[in-house]
Amino acid sequence: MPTLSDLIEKNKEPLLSRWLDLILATYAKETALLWKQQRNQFTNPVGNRIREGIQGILTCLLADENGSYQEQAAVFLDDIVRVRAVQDFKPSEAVSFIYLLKKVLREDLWAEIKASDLFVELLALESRIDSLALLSLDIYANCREKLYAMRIKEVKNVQKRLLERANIICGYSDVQAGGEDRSPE
Amino acid sequence: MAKLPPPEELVKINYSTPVKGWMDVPADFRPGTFSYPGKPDILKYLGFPNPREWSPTDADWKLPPDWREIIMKGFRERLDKYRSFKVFMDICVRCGACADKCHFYIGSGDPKNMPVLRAELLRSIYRGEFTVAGKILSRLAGARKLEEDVVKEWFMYFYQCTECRRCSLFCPYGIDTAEITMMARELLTLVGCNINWILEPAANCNRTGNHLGIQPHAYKDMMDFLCEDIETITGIHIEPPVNKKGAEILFITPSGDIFADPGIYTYMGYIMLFHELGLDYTWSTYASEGGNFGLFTSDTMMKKLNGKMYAEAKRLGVKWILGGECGHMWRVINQYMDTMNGPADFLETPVSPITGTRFDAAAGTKMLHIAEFTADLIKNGKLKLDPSRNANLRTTFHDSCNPARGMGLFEEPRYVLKNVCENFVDMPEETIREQTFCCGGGAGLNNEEFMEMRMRGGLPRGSAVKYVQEKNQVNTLVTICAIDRATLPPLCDYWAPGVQVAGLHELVANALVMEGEQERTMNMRQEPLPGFEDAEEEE
Amino acid sequence: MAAFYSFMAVLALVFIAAIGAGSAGMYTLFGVAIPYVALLVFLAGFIYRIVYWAKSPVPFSIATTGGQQKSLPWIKNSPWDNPYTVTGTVIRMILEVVTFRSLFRNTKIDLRVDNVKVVYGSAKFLWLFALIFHMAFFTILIRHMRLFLDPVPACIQKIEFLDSILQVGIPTLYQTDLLILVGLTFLLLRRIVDVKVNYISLAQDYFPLFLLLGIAISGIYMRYFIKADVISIKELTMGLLSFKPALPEKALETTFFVHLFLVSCLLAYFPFSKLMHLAGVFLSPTRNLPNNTRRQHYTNPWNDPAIKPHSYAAYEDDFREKMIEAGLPVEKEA
Repeated sequence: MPTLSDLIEKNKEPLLSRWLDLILATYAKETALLWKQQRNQFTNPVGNRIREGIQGILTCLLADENGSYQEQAAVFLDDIVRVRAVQDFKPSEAVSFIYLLKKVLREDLWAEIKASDLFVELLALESRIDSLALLSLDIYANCREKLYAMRIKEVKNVQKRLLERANIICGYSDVQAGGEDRSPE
Repeated sequence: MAKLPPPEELVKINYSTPVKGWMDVPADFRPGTFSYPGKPDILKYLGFPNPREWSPTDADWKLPPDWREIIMKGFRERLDKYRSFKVFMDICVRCGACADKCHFYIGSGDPKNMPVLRAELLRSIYRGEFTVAGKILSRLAGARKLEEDVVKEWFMYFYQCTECRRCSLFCPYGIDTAEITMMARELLTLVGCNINWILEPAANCNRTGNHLGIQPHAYKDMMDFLCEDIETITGIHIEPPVNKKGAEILFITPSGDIFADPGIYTYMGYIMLFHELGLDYTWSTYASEGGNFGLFTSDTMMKKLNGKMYAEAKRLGVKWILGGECGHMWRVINQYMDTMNGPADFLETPVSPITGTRFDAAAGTKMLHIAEFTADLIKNGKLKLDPSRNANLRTTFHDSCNPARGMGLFEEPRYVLKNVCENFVDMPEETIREQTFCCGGGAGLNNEEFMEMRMRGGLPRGSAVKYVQEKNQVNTLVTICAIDRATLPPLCDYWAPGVQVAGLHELVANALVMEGEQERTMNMRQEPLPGFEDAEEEE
Repeated sequence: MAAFYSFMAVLALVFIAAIGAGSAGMYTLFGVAIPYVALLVFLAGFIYRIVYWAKSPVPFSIATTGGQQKSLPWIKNSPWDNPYTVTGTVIRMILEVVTFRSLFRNTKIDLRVDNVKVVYGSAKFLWLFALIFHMAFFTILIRHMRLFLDPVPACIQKIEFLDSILQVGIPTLYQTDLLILVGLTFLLLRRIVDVKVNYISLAQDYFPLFLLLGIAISGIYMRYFIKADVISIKELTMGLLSFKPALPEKALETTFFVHLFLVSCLLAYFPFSKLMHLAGVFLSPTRNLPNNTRRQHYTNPWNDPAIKPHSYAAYEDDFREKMIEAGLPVEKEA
């Protein structure tokens, strides 16, 4: 009797291909068609990251069932989420791509799952997928926080010396430049 | 068993909506993808039309009542002034060679970021208003009428072009989107649609001599402040000459480097280098800006701001001008300066007082690039360098768009870099030199509100940096542009965390062995030099 | 949709010629009048367009530099990609026009599933097929000169010989006849299949392709299938050329009139279309100017000397006291 993992392993290529299609379809309007149909010819860093990412994620989901898959998958999730975090997506849209794997599995493997009665395994796998969705949310939030932090840092950087100078005028003249970490003698 | 509900219902994913022609897709202004508009008082100071409070997200942009006539008149005038504009409007065959060359298109996938479509935004109006076929056949001839939505679309996409000219390199007819973007921005300015990040620096530069609006005493003060740091690092006290009449050389560099991190280290590098050489030179507070945001506004503004360089050279009575590390500054100097404000007959062809080399490449403008100057010094063995001080750095070099495709400055900075740092590796061939990718913030788009779009546009550069980071353990991205020094740190932070950004002359300063210096234990950033890491901890 | 309209338009043109010169027998109209008018429109339109362009000056020298500049003597420069002399610029232009050098640079972002990072592969197909089409078109154009020159110059005969060097079929096959179809088909399919190019394509991009295909196919049909009477055709062309137009005694095939009519349409359409890139490429300031504006002066005819920078005097007036206080030298004491 085949396990769900075997089943997925056997159908890995078509599953990944459909998952990729569905993800590319979340790109708005014109982009969707452009990137979807450009799969073999015109590609790009975005498509590249997504492709590699989903491959890695699926491998992690299958390879490990004892819990460390999250850590391993984080790298691949990051590849995808980092891009989607700076594209025109709402947070829910940005991390939604992971749920599309559920759709693919259910729709493409439904007959086999039913025939071999693999529902328990499917539920377990779906739980793992759900946890990756939560993880994606963390990554998304990190990326967005980073964006805002970068914006603030940039404002500061542009006038770094002015700010330092201003600080000194405000009464830090006894502190040497770059010496704020040194303990008083 | 009943069929399960499809999981994507949870998140209501929008699958590909029917694809519409690009003319039917209005511009959608989401925060992070546009820059804030010019402030009314800045417009008033510059004498620009239609100063008002407005936002791109407003439905009503408060255009002047006769905006259509204004734009059409401006369009016609520019066709008469620029052959490039006419030819570029007429000869595009839409072969698509440029399409995937734009960093914004690669990162965003928005078709209107394809250079060809960006230009079609203007071309469609040209056809619809100036050609017979366009007037009759309309859409079928790729023509349309000038509507308010078109102006909005222009504002969106011509302020999403960094004028990097990468597309122009691949175009079989040399169609230059930068040229088209410049025209479009001028037209937009005629009806009061422009961005503050360009206009305020331009206004500041006009009045105070630099982008940030720093007044002369503060500029001097800041310089002294940096000299204190130099003294801390080297033990050498330097008093750089400012506004000194009769000096041999006038030095001009972007003002961003005197305030901004990490530009300040490059700025200190210049001061140290010139001191070590005993160069008879001067800084200027009146011409304290190398950059020229007029290039991103209009030819008039560009000429006006650029004029300061020669004016100051004349007033101070110098022989020639030396220019610092900057990107678009060098496009202006190389391709516009002499035409606009030359010939500078009162100056002499630059001759290095140290090596005696005569720089014929600068015989017209009389303005030399610091990388050329330093490369010549090193080649002639005039600098004592200790590259081991940069041994902790594994560097790669980012070619800035303007010196790359508007000048061709590739070998000089690399030669200098290889001489001050032993660990150097180039990024993949297709992402450097003339094919270099933009930082995502050129042409006045290096503002923080545009950060999201900058990160999209920065993806190709980021990927290349990450590639050498993983393959060659690169940890420092060296560049010769002040805007790059501001835009690349967040770019690296996001796409290739762990890579820092440095100016070329920061590394020169690290390696420069100066006469009478104390034992150097720290680099320009006051971080311990290789071999002194422990000493720092013991303290 | 744009492709369909263009196809229908060309089809309509074919029918007009087939019916007009075939069924209705308007030989003089299609054989003499229309070609004359078309040629006239072509010449006038071509000159008009060039003059229209040339009327606008080139205010700035804005070469796109594609290689190392000429600076220090010990640094090797790229004389063709970043020319600083007229000679270098001419070579750059020749390489551009004859070998499509910029297009050759074309790279495509390529995705490798097994490789983590973006790989930039080269995409030379557009270059290759564009070159095939243009070269074939040019050769065919030269070959056609035999219809306008008597005696036929040796060089044209040589080209014909080289073009049919494979010695296949009777009449011997010209390789360019095949190549032009290959080139056009690729360029057309690319517009239809490549989504990115499809999205940017307009009717005016398809129309010339269909028109050229129509011309090529009718020409090939004439030569290889119905083996048109070249002597009679030359009678007509020589008559047209000597301004004593007369229809040959032997009736010409309808296909010939279709061919001629499509060519006339192309001629008349040419000056008002993107096909003018033929001339425009020579006028493109990013390619036809040397990168030497730091070396020598370049003049902008409308440069306005009245535009002056904010003067130093005004600047000092603004900040004099602060400058004095900071110890900066000033021109005028307060």
